[in-house]
Amino acid sequence: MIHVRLFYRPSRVLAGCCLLALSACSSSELNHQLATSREAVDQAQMAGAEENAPADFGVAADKLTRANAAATGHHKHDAMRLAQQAQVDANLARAKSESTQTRIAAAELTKTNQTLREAINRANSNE
Amino acid sequence: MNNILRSATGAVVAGIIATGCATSPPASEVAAARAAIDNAGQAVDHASADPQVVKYAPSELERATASLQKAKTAWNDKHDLTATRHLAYLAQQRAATAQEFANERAAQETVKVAAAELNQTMSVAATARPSKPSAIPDLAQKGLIGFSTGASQLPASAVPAINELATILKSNPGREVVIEGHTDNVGTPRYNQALAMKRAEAVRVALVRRGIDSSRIALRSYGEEKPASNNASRIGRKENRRAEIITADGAQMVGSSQISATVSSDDPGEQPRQPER
Repeated sequence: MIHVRLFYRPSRVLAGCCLLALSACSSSELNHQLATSREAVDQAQMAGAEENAPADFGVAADKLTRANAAATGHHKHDAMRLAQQAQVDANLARAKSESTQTRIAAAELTKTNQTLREAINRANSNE
Repeated sequence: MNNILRSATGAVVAGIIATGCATSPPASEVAAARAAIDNAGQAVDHASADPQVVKYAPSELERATASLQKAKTAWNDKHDLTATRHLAYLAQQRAATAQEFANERAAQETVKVAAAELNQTMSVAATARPSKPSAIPDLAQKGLIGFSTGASQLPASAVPAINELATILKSNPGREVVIEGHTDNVGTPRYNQALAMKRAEAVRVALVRRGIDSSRIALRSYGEEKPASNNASRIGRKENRRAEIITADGAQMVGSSQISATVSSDDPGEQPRQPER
């Protein structure tokens, strides 16, 4: 019986811990994360991620939708994880979009320089 | 017995909720967790090894490292595969984002260098442009002088200058010119006004014969009003019997149609004095 009692008590302690852990993920925390993720997705969209990083942006937008659905269905942990992932996905999509656009600008400038140099050289040789 | 069963069930349920501390996880979970942590670890290591990332995306890299650490802890302490995968995923995406920040920075650097180069090229082009037009008045000064007294026929000495001018205008198709006619002070101002216009006209005809569109050429007569030399000497008067080529851009060319209209008039002598430029 002593053995049983020892076994029984730790399980209750563990269950208590789990309850604490579950309640740590409060509604306000989740709502805050959902809002942050929404903002991250919006900013990625404003940065042109839909065109420049469609795969990453699609994943982010999808996860945000699923996070909101999970939150509505009271799956707080799932909602939290999905929302956090949506945020990092959106951040990556935004960063990719921005670096792509800058790379395009760099390539265009380089090309303009080349064209201009050639034009000047032609003009000089015509003199 | 019932007690044992209940307590055992309680422990298992608790274990599942807390994702088990006491039980050792199945081999497949161990492999999955290890793969997730390894992948994230590689991404973070790769980013950390890039000096550009370390320099330009330190906080994102820090967040990636922290997530990786949490993923390891989630596995080592709790054997929580879901949390481990989740945190490893966060680490991996954050490492990729840090890498992308560094890429952006490198591209910005390229833009900066290319923009500076463009600026330089533009300023070279801007200084190169006026150098050509400035050659035109020089040429005019040298070549288009020495009309015979009372005559508007181009002096033979002007032919090389006219040829050169035509070549310059051909290679600068956008450029328009004003040809100014001048005389010495021999004769009445009214007579000289008409004569100067005829001299300008002679230059235009010569240019048109060399293939320059007459719409690019405007004429203006100054008569004897603007001598280049002193009319007291014979050489001075010869230098005053001349035509000058003025390159016109924008503002100056606005008046060119008026000038052309003046030219087409039958009697230039009847025209009022040309307005100040």
